[in-house]
Amino acid sequence: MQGTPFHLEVVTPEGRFFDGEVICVTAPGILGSFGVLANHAPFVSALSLGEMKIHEASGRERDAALFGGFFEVAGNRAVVVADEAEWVETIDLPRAERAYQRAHERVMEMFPGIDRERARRALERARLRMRLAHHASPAASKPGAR
Amino acid sequence: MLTQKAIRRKIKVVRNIQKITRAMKMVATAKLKRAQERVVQSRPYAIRMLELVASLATLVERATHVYLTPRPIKTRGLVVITSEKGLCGGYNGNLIRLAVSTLESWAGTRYELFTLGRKGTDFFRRRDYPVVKALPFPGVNARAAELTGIADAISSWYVSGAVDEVFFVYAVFKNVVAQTPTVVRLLPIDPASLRSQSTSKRAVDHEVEPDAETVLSELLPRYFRYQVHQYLLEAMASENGARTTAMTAATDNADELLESLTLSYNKARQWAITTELLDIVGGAEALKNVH
Repeated sequence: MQGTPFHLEVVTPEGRFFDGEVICVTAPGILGSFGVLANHAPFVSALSLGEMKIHEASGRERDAALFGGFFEVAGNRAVVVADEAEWVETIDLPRAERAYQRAHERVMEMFPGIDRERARRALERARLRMRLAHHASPAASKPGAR
Repeated sequence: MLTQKAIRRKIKVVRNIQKITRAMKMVATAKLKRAQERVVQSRPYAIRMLELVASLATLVERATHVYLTPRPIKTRGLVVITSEKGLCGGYNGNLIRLAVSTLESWAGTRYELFTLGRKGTDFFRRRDYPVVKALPFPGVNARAAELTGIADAISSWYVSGAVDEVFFVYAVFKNVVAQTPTVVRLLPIDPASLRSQSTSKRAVDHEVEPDAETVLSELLPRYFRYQVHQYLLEAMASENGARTTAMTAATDNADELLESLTLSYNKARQWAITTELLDIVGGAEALKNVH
């Protein structure tokens, strides 16, 4: 991918997740996914759960799961203030599947309320992890396939 | 004067206590380091969060949000942070004193207490203060989700209307020997404070997506959580700083005590030898006279 590079920084409460020059970044906005190139007009967007794609200036493409936060562009610099982020290749699929099972059971048995809301969110997070991990290595999705 | 045996026993006891205080000092130092590491780790997020809030400050100032809009004050809420365990010098005492004097200054208004940490919980429960919520204070390795849980509990206390203002008593970490108990207002958030907190003063007119209302309703709870996180991490550092100092002092005191005990032990020994010698010499003299 060709283009003008710009600076992207992704921070989470756990630390700095990404910091470098990129050509393009795609992020999961609340109204749907959007892409940002260099020299974008200043804007702020709330993010939802979803996939973030980074095209680094070096040519490398990286995917990450993003769990809510904000995207800000100003002065040809983009900053993502994320609640949590995880590179797709580091997702622990069995763990996500277990979390999915657990959350699914909790959502099914509980009455509406705060705890159910929490379980529902856990379910969504697990679902996102599973979807992205499957996508990254399709073989993992089919038991028995080599 | 104590007998040699009694002094020896005392020395042994002091040595054992010193071993414990020295171990506790090392544990507290390690925990302090961990707490400081966490503060450093969260710094990039903190800086960007404050910048983001500051760059949206004009938006915030015009907004109406439950976190921003002051209500007539019928009941005040006070969150008091203390430690789970003692042996940290005046740490808990100073915090409790500040909490009590804050409550005294509120005389005439109803108030409720939310205690974090067993020491404060015990103190206020025993004296029949209205403690409506009490949680243990998280350890230095507590997961982010646990800290967020605390922030959410404070938030729902305020949002439900149980209290109309929330104050926070915690110890600001100056350095290992100095922690200053401080009271700050957490809710409602003062919009003016948002602007002043950021180090860089950027005034960019942002396009906001999807709309100002949604962005604020997403941003303010995160900002609030972030603030509670920072206060909790700071309290962790303060507690372990206080404990390091207290245990260093205890170990040093034990050294002093050992010195003076060793001195009395030597005196007692000398005295015993002298008496014994006198006995022998006296006996020998007596025998000489017989011949």
